[in-house]
Amino acid sequence: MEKWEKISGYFLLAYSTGLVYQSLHLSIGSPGQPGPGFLGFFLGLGLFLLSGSLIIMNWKWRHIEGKPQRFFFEHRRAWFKPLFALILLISFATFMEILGTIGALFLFFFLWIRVLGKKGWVLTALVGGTGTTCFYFLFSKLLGISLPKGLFLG
Amino acid sequence: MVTCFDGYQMARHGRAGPALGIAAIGSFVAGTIAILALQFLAPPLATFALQFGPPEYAALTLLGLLLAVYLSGASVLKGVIVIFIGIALSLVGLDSVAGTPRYNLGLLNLQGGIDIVTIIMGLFGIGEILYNLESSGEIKILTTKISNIYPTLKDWAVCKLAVLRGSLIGLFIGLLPGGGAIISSLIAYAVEKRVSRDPERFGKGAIEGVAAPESANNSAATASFIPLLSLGIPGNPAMALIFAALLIHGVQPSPSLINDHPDIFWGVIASMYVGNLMLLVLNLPLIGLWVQLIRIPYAILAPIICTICLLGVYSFQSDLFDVWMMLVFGVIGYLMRKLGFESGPLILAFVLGPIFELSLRQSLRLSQGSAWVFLSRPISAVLVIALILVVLGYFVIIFRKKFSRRVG
Repeated sequence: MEKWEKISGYFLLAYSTGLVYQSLHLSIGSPGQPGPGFLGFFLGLGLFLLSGSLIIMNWKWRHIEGKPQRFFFEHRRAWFKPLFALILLISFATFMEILGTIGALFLFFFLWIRVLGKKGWVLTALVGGTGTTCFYFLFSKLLGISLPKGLFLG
Repeated sequence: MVTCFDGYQMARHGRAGPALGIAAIGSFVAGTIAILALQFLAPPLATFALQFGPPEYAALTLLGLLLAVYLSGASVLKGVIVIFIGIALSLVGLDSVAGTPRYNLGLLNLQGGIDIVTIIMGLFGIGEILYNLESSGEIKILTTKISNIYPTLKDWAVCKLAVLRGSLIGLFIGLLPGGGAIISSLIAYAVEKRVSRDPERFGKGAIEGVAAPESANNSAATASFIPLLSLGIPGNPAMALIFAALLIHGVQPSPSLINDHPDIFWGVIASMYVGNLMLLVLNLPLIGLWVQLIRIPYAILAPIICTICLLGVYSFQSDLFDVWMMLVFGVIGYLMRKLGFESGPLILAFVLGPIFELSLRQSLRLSQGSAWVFLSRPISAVLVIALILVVLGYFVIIFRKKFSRRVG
């Protein structure tokens, strides 16, 4: 856990540096005539100091003896489900225009319920089919939103 | 959450019905009191707020953001970091004064700024789902038969003052910038325990422990509308969402909202009365049905929520870029949750950021760069003093804790 907190501190440090650089590039102006980068500059400076404090606090925590153990993942395979779900979400966004909303949605439901939910084939197919139909009908027909039809139907 | 301290124990003792019943009735009473307050307090407050200029708005938004972090109960350092990031994200897009594109990484899609819908759906929808997926098994739910939901006469006698106290506490906390449902229910529970002749019963199934926090959270949720509709300032993350929803419909919350859009203001109040009544009409007879909803397996519920987020964000502008942005914020929300950063203040800061920036820059232009402008006007001076007191109060608590630890 401490390692991840340290990484987040360094990430924030880099982000704040980028914010300050961009703000200077935009012009911070003067106190009487603040420019577009005025607030961003001071936010960046503040964030730099705060992320520095976060890193120092993390460093101090790491050197406390007898501290309670904290883990980023509570059990060994805890990373699998969030990662797989994220891959499914990314795949949906990638294939929505190629497969069309119906195809992408059905695959999304199917893989989620079957692989992540470990449900039987019948329930998976039933929920996948019903879910896809209901959502397509709701968004496309009732709300009148133009959803991608895909390369095959479009 | 606070309701569960005693509500769960009541359910274990076979009194889930009266617990749910008093929660609904207490919420109805508290909601009605808070709507009355909204009806009578918001118009004079809005008239008063017309005196507000840029320095007052800058100080008020800053105070609201600080209190939101301070009252959230999480790490203050992480809370302040989140607020800085929220304001920084709100700067993306066109500069409201000069019209210069800024912080958009050269992406045309970001020229109009980041859409709040993508942030909300990402942080609270996708992020939360990813986080909840980590738990290894299905969530175990206590199954108990809900028979009689109406509290007994003895319950009424015990609860009537608890409901009233909870309502007033919620009303006061809801009015404060940063105050919200959670903090008000915690305070109401603590007060109830303190005034009780038999505080040992709390945590073991005391019905006042359900009535007071439930009344307080409903009252606070309604009272939070008062600063939003009269000052145009959302006091907590939930109000920031309402603020965003009003903006999407072309309504800018401000002190002139009551005069410019009386239909919206009085419509909101009327809808609250109806909604509050529906709370009783629907909840009391259908409690058994609502309980069944939480039994839907998470494996089915999660893809449904994700689909609503994906298609909802896409339908906003029919642009896949928004879906990608939402996924990015989903991952950020997941990591924030894992690392102990609160997402709520980020939304609040994102909404208040543009108001703060514009009023700060206008104030500095007015005063030709002098910070004295914030202290030379009575309202902003009071707000700045409150701001300083909040910061000092925080440091006093820290030093007292350190001192007592050393002495101990």
